[in-house]
Amino acid sequence: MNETQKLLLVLLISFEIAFTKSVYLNLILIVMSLLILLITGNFAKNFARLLIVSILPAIGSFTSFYFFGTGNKEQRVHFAFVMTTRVGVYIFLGAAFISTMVLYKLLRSLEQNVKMSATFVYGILGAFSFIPKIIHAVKTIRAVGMMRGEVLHFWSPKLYFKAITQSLVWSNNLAMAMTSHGFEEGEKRSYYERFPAKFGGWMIILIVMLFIQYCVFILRLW
Amino acid sequence: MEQLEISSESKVRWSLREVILMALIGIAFGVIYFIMDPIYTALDAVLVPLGLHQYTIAITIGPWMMAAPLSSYLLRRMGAGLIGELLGATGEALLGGYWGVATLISGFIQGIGSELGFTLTGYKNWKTGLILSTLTGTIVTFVWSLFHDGYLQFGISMLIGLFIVRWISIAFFAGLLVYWIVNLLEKSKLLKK
Repeated sequence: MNETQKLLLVLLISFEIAFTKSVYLNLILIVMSLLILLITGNFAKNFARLLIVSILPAIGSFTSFYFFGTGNKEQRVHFAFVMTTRVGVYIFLGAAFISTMVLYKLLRSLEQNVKMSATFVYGILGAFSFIPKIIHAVKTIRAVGMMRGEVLHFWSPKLYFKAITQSLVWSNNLAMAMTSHGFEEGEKRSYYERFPAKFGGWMIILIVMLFIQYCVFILRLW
Repeated sequence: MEQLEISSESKVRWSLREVILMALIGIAFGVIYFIMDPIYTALDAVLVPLGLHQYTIAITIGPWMMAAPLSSYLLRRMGAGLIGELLGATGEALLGGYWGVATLISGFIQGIGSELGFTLTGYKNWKTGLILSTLTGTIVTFVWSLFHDGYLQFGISMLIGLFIVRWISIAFFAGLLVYWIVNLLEKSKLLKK
């Protein structure tokens, strides 16, 4: 499977899960995601963190549908479990995808397979390398505010204004740097590395999606 | 500091600088939202035992919807909201938000919702568009939540409450705050008209 196919599969599953009401299907998907994490060797690193971040939303989903859902007790408990496991699917499926994904491969494969414009591909790649600088910049902006006795909260327009000003300067510089290094917008490009969509990948997508439909519509899993 | 041209001549095509700018803004906003994290968790910890977790989501949805109207309002171009929000969501996903790829789907829904407000004015009146976008953004994301967040299972009073809280959050962050931010940018004379 190439990266575009992986993204497509995860998007399809995430979209369908928003409409299905099967606890067992959700559990199967969670186990599959955990297996992917296990096989790719990202299990130990991720599992504890994911479990911690998923606790509040998971319990929260359960209590809200148990207390405020409609229907009799059995229906409410069922739906509360559906929503709890759905949170789990989103978190673990997302982690499984991210753990096997390399951003530049994903973007280049999107460029080659779905004709995403090179401007977006390389623009996003360029911006991505700024993440550590941006984290630092936001810290600095807040520290400068503190020095003037001004606490910049996440609802302060000034905080956003300063972050945008910084982004304006950096985007200008980076675009200029990329252009001066030979990047031309809208020009035809040749590819050093190719990421073709393989037949096997389509088959995996087909099988997984058919399996989900089978669970939902034919087995009608609880 | 020299003045920067915010929007290129083209009304359709995104220039490299604009793509980088919106992606950087998306990442910067993502970093800023992390400041919100402890507050979100504290609020959630109180509301979860009461079964009101959905209200935590409704209260805090506003900040996640800022990229779209900001992008439309800054670039003044058709589709800017949707693409801006998608770039923002990509930035947020890359920062390691635990919703992962699902962020892209919500980004798409939020982008469409916000964009619709500007579409209703025919991309002519941007201020009215901004006001309308808070309403269309609320409606579209709410309809998505009916399924995705299981809102269909709630009674009508809970739904009305959730809708109003969501609208207030979006109106403040994706409406008023965006308006203030753009005002500051215009006053700063950093942007070429």
